[in-house]
Amino acid sequence: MVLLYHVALGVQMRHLGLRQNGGVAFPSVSGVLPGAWLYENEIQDQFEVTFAGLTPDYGGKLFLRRDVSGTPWGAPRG
Amino acid sequence: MVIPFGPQHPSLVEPIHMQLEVEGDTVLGVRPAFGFVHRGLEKLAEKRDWRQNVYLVERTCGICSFIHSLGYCLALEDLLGVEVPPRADLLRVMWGELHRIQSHYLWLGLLADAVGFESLFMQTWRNRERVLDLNELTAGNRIVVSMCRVGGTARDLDAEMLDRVEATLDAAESEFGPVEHTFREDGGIARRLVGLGRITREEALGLGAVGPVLRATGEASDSRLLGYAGYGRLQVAPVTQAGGDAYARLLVRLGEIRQSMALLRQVLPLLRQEPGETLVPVRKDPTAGEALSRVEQPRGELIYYVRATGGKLLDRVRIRTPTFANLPALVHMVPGNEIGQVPALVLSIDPCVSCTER
Repeated sequence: MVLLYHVALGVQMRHLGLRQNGGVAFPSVSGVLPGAWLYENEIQDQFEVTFAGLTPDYGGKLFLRRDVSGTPWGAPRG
Repeated sequence: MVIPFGPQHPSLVEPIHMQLEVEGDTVLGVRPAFGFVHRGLEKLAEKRDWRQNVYLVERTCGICSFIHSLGYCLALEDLLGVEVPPRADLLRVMWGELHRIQSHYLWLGLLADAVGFESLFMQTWRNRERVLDLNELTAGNRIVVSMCRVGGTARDLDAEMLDRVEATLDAAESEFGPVEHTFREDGGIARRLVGLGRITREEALGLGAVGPVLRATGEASDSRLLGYAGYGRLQVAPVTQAGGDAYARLLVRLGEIRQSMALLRQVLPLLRQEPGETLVPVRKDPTAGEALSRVEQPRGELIYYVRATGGKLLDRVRIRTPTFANLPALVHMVPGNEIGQVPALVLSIDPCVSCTER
């Protein structure tokens, strides 16, 4: 699976892709970019993906109700 | 002690919930909760024809709807290799700036109401009505104008209509003066907002803040500088302030209403001088590929990412809205303030929960 990062400063934008095997947690970038915690929590909500070192970690229940199982997109494609 | 703030609160039109950890009147920590109005629009966008999605994404936000459809259309046009007629680009700027003005007016009214200035609230929203009337005049609808299409715009404006737009703009500009003066000079508003929720430029950049929240820290960041639609032909200088607090955010938005009116003054003569087509028919489906667009919403940068695998349905539509980007900054700002200041602080980022949850 590939996780795409789009990082911008002003009009400049860089696009990065991090490829990783399924079932392995991606490293959280929230330690470097503090605002990333919200993005990574949303991704955990939507896909079967986890982030190691994510703080705060909503455990895949940022938008989803606690009684909902699974994720809307399941495992990521690609 | 933990005190819940929201999801229903008099100062908020939309539901936000925050668990405020307090000691005495001072907030020590905050944990937000979301999901009260989530509609799953990104998932819905995979089930509809890429043309139908223009109408779907436009309903992401009930305030700056046109700019959502613009962001989506720009990404699709990039994917399809479609060149939009210059006149359509100018019309897109016109409707985009009308949406920015009415959105900032909406926020100014909410702010006046939140600080107990009822007459200012009413005057601000009366002024907003004039802009909404312009939307209705030019597009037939006041908020969701449905004027953007992949390949251009759905409607053109003739010379008579442009005259009426200009006359209304004259009136709107003169009416804005007293309202702007009151917001800038009233001591009560300044006392409530100066120093509230102050963040530095470095903190705002690290937290991913966008729009007036970022520009109020002195960072001259504005997606319109990319030159999308017709902005490349116009003079756009980001409105900035150095204070980094809620008052600086207010001043940025006041300045941006003036800026939007000035942009309309640049666009209207060009529309008069340059007749032409406003829509290029697009009869093919996008081939496999991906595209990303960045546009400036009233609340900050809006990003659309689309991925196609060929055919009528898109594989993925990702919408990164500005309020979503500004929430980490809000969570960073709240601790250290008194409970009574939290409503005005939340309001200061101009939150749009409908956008955030999509």
